[in-house]
Amino acid sequence: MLLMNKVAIITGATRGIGKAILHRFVEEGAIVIGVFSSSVALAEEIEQEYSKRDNPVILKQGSVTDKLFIQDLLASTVATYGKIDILVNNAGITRDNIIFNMPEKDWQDVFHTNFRGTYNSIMETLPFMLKEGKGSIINVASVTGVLGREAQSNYGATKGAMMGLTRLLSRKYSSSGVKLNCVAPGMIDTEMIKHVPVDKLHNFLQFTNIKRLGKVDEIANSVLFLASDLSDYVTDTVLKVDGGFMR
Amino acid sequence: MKKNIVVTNGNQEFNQEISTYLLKKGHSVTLFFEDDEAEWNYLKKIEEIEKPSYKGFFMKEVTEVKLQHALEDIVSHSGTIDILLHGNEMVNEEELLLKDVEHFDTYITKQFHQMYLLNKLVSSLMVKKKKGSIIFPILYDALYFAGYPSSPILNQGKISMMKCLSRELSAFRLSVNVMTFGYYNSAFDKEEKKNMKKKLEIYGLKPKLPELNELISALDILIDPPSSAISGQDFHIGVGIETGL
Repeated sequence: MLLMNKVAIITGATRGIGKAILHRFVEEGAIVIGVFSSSVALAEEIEQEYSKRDNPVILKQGSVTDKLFIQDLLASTVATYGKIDILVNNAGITRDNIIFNMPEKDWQDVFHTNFRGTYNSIMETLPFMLKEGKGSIINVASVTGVLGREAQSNYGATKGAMMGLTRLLSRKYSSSGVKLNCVAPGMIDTEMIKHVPVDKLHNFLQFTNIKRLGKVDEIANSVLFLASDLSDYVTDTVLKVDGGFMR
Repeated sequence: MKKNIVVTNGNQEFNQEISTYLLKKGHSVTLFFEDDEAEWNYLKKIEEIEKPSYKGFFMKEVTEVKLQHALEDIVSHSGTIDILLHGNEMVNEEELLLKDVEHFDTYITKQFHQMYLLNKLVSSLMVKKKKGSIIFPILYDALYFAGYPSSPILNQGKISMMKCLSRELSAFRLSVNVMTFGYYNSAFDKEEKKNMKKKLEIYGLKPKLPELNELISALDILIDPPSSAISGQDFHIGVGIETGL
């Protein structure tokens, strides 16, 4: 198993891609602490599902933008399991609009969760990883951050900023044993794309080599690679998992 | 053709160089400053003949209302804004992070918020005329390894933002581009220049260290584009520098 006895924290862990990463990590032997903001019922369902396993799954409700919550979460994780090996920053929101119609609050909210939330989680986790001299941080970006998409300048800018943050910290900490990478999913079959008009989806797939939407498990497998020792010489990479979109 | 150009982050010498270059080319420039002293100092550098084409704006805290008033003022004077040029912050993010880890994210978020407000208000003026251009000049980030200050977060965020804006504003005939400037002579003395050239050989043998002004002139491609079909691009100006995101 690729993550046997590794301690992993995953944000946005009860839905879509986050939930798939959680499942995959548990299958590979990791002790998983999942963070969720509002879906209590889904969190209980996941905890129940894994209640009989040797490697525990713990779900904690809170916001990635709440520094105190993150600090408490990390402190209790280290107190219980002694270390943090993996951090997956998956929590993110969208508030789509054309720039000249975009309300200020929508810009700020997206930045607050996507960029500042990621920054908080990383900066609070790094000292624990540096102490161990090993760790893997994976930021879930998006094909929007790599290639852009209309009506998503707020979301795209945050995903670009996350890639830049990955680069900045990777330069600084990779030589100390902590690798930082991004995964940039393309059009993945999740709740997040339910609002995308059908003709837009068709158009997207026309420009995608594989000619279908991605599955959450396919993203989870890529995150697993970056989380595991298989990718020890991989850092500061944006791994596009997009079925060959626009190439 | 003479253009009305708004340039931000006037406190930075790099953006003042851009402003001066544009004024000398005969364009009208409005330069935004964070403090009035910097504005006053810059005014002293401009030649008398160029002063009628120049306007300085002092705005310490950028808000939507303040910006709206400033833009109305600009439009009432010049009739239109043809180009919005987001001046580079010239920030060394690694240094800033080490200095103030607590507020680093606030600083970054604030920069992007200002860009958002400017993009929102200026593009809403431009779309009515179905004409205009937004430009983000940035500095090539991998020069970090040669010792230049670098801003990977602001750079990558701007590139991603540019690509999104270009895809949506193309419907209104607006163009949005990034121009990435490569290595330059940052007032190096003879010895520093020699050492720097050695480091920069990764980009090409015997690299020439151009003056910043030589690079800035490449902005002409975006200020007065030879084709209307130039948008969504990140132009790299520097011999041998890579173009990947």
